Amino acid sequence: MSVFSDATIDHFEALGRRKLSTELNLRVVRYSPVITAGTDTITLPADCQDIICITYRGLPLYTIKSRNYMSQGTPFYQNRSIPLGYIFDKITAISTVKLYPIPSESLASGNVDTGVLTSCIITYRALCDASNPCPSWFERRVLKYFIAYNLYSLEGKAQNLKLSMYHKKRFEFRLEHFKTQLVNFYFGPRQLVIQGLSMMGINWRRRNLPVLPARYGRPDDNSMVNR
Amino acid sequence: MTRGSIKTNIAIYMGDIGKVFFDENELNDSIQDAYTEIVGTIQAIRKNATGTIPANRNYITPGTLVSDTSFLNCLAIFDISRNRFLGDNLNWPKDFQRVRPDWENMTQPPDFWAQVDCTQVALLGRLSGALSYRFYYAANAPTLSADADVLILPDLAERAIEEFVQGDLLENAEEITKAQIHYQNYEEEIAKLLQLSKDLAHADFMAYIDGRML
Repeated sequence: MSVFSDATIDHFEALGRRKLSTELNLRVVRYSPVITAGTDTITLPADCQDIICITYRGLPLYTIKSRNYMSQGTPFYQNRSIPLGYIFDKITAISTVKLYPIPSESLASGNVDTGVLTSCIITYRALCDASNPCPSWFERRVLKYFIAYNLYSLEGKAQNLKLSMYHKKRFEFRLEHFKTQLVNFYFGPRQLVIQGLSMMGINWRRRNLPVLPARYGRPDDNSMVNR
Repeated sequence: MTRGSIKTNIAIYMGDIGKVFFDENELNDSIQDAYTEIVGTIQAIRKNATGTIPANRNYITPGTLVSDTSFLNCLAIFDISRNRFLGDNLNWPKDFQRVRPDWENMTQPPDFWAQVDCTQVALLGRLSGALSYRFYYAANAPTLSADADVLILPDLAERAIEEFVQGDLLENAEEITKAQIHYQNYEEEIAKLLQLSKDLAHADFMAYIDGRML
């Protein structure tokens, strides 16, 4: 029988998952909040750790970095009825954002795939937990070091600080290993595909710029023709 | 190279003939861990399958589309109807927004893809109707269920697996000084395998998996 209770092990397992998901880009979630006319604040989901982008009716909102700029309230901004940007509302809570200018319309929560044009969508990096675990191909081999180094450092008859330090170093080493591996996953295949695709002196490297239809697929608009 | 042959070697290396100290389950777990890690690191198992991308989707999960639970990560996407690979040299979301700020509203056959997280892929362009695409991807190591199961790895990987397993077993037995030596050897072996994998895939990776000569 283990000297550590299941509850203690589960606790460190949860902490380990949180640690992994803050260190690595493991899970991206898209979420559509309800927008109420005249209300600027959006509460973010509890598992949100980092916003990647926010779109409002399909258009991206930009981060407003200067509060002074916002408070001065330029006429241009005051006349707008839909948001152009957002700020993190860190004064009241870290888990909210404020839209600016304040929307004058209400939007229902929409489908994150088909409702892009009619709703506000937040794309964010999410924390992992027991119901949304880290990918199985590496979680077990990293988490066991994290759990072991925490358990061996607990006060009691099983305390072994030397072993705890060993597992901590192994955890950090493994974490770096998988960080590298994830970067390879995200960018490596492109290198494999691009490298040396040539024969008889013909360079088969692929183009850098996308080939898109006229006016980037926008519908015909007389004001834009041949400009 | 089978699970059984690795177990026999490990028992000899560890002076544990008859598997008295390390039981079967412990050995099997360690071998599976080593197998999974090496296959994941060098992306040794590559597959391709056809999947249908639904209409009006910028974000897809290729593993679900091809119904393969062993899906590890996407390597390439081939547009069957247009007979071309989708580009993959844009970064999501920054480069996508540079092409067009409201790129999620762009209805046209996708031209580019980028990895979003461990499972999802973003497409630049959304389809107006569902269409079949071919996905090339790396897969996870299959679960070894019997000693006769053959590992899908080059024979060169045998030493890496054995070093990993010895390190793992010694670590569980709290012999951390010995374990560290084996892990160091394992890292050296995996570096060689990684280089081998890159060299083999270097020039004609796409040519081989596509079944055509470029």
